[in-house]
Amino acid sequence: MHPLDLALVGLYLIAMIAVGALVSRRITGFRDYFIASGRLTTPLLLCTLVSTYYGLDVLFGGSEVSYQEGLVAFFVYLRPYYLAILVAAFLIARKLRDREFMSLPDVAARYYGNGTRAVIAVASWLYALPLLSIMGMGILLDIVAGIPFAWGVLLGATISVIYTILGGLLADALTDTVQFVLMCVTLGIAAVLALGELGGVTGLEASLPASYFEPTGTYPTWVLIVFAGSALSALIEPAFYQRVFAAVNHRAIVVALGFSALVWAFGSMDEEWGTLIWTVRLGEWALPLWQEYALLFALPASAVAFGVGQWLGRKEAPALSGEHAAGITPEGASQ
Amino acid sequence: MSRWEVWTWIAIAVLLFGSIGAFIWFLRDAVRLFRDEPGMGAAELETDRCGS
Repeated sequence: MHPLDLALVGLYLIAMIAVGALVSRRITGFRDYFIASGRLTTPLLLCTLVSTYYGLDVLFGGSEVSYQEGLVAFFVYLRPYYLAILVAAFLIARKLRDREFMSLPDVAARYYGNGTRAVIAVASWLYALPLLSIMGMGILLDIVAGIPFAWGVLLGATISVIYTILGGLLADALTDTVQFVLMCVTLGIAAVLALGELGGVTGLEASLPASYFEPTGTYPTWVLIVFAGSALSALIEPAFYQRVFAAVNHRAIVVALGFSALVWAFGSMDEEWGTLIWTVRLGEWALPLWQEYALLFALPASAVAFGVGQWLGRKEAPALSGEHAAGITPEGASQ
Repeated sequence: MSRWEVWTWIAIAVLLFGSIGAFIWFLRDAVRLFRDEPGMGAAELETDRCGS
């Protein structure tokens, strides 16, 4: 990378910490820290929800499935997840917001007692461990900046921990917003560039088997059921409930989730096309494109889906260390 | 132009312009939040709950 590129990445990371420091001055108690005292309005919720759910796990998992099977990843693997979130927003969120909950363990304690609260707290902690995201940061820094994987993991995790500890949920929501914009804009630009290079979707259709464009692909029915069923995990997603409790009102949740579902749906569609394009053209022009636009791809974690998942998981795995390849296999990434 | 083609360009347009629009919306609220303007605090949350 050009030194200017590295400087921009460094500036971005410093800015994340600065946001945490800025917000920390406004933190006056645990409620403020943990759920921003219920001050998240629709746009803040929208940005943080999209960024939170559009993480590396969805992208690596979704990209891998689309690489192997095509658009079934969108129709069966990703779309049910968004539907589950909408169901939660309409059916569950209002009831939970009527009480002074701050987390899922609080809900468990209210209805099932403190023993259940402890179990749910441990389960939520395990569920929310951002192992894949941290590994993704390590891989990304290795690729774009040449930082050894272990140091990249340490650096990425340290910066994330610092701004989160400093500013709590509000700092997280603010930085999520920056990531949201970078993610969506770069994904859109990359889709335009890549599709233009390949002759549009028509060019893709001419290059790939017809099954890639079938909504159910070639998977057996039981696999599709498992894929769709995994969407129910949205109903126990700690990050989702934290944002529900942090919303300024129920209307903000519903509007934000409606917009989020729209962005997820269209963003996923672009992601799927991106993956299919890499499937067709990997090694011909996609890698140079990736390198040329490395900075654009580097900042938003989601844009990694435009090739790294495929690149590391499949074609180029031998060129990198075994632990990288092993760490981001779809089996490990999807959960 | 195939239905996939149409869908894809709509998706790209929504992704680009939707995200930029959401960001502008966010900036407005972020400024209000940091200025502690009315309608952005926990008090409003309580009002909303009581009213709903």
